[in-house]
Amino acid sequence: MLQIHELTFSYLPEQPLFDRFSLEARKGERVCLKGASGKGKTTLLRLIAGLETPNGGAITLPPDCKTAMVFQEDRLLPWLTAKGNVSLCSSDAAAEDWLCAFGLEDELDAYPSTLSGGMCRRVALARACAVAPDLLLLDEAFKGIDPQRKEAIMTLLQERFQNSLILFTSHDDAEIAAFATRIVEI
Amino acid sequence: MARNERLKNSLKTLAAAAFWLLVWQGLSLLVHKPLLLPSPVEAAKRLGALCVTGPFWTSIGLTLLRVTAGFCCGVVCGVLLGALTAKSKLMERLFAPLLAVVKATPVASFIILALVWLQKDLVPVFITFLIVLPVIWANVLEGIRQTDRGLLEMARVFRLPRRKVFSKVYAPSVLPYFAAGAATAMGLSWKAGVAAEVIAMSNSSVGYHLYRAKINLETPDLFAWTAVVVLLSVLLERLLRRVIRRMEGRKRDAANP
Repeated sequence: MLQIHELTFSYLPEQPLFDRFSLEARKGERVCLKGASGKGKTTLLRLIAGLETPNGGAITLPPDCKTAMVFQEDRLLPWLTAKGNVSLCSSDAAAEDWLCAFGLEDELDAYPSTLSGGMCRRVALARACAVAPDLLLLDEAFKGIDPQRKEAIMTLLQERFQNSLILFTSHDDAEIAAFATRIVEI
Repeated sequence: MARNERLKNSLKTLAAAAFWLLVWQGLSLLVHKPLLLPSPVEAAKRLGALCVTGPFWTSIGLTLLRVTAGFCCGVVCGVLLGALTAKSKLMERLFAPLLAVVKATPVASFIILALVWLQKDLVPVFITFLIVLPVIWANVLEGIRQTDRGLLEMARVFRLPRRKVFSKVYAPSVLPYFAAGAATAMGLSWKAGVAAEVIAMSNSSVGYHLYRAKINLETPDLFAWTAVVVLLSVLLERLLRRVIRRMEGRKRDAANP
């Protein structure tokens, strides 16, 4: 499903971040990109999402691949409610479904500024899930969510995205152990 | 609570206005020459007398029409230019010098030129347009530039249609900049529009009556007509602010719960 072939990328010419990096991943996998800060985990997700252009090599995805991403920041529109933010990218029904699944049934009409950090994170997750993506990119997506809730969300993602590819970054070893099917060191 | 606060604020504004009216009254008593400085009472009396005449309302109506026509054209073109120059560096390079010249050129120069090019009734419309255009353009451009890159990236990853990117991301981000520009432009458009009417001596206009008051040394008339312009400018600015506030109402509530 995802093929990265000899990827080369650098923000500064003298500091290459990726030098002939290759990776293949299939549907149903949950791949954790692991590495120290500044090694390029977020950059790799951005490259896959098409937000950065590689200097060399190729990133190949199926032509009709539906991609969704949870960024390190929530990136919610402050002038839209939780439901408004999620339904921006999907149908109203899917938005409500995912928000309720993430325990936000009482917050459908709440604005991001009235929600806690963990709640905003769940709204951002719901937005990504509601588009029913083939490729789900999660950049420290579970940060700030309480442990019990995090576990429930990870179980739900495992159940509902068995036919999708999930690529995620995390600094939490327990989270990686519970969620990843494969770990890729960067 | 909010109502009491509003009432208190209104009373404070009225008290400030009353203070300056008293200062005006005191100065007119000190000068004691209505030809140089009529008292507020004399100006109000003159305004009262003018109010009951037909030409007064015709002049106000036509001035209002000219200023709002120029303002609306300036807003539409300013928004379009702002969007165009934000989208294309080439367009920005092309239009930036032109708009800098428009901003820096004295209004009087444009009025005199416009008198050569246009019918005198169209001069105030054109001048108001020229004054409004760069203000709206600069504010819209700045608003587009300040739009959160993170939100635009999100829209790109989720492949939001252009229509949604415009209405849900750009429009709410640009609105505060547009509102500030529109309020400033509204005040300026009255100053420039009426100045153009005075110089062009546009038919049935507030500017024409100001000119007549000047050559006939009818200072109370000058004050009465000036008061009309100030009143119209304040009223229209308030109306504009109310419309914009309504447009961004939900957004403001969301950002400042």
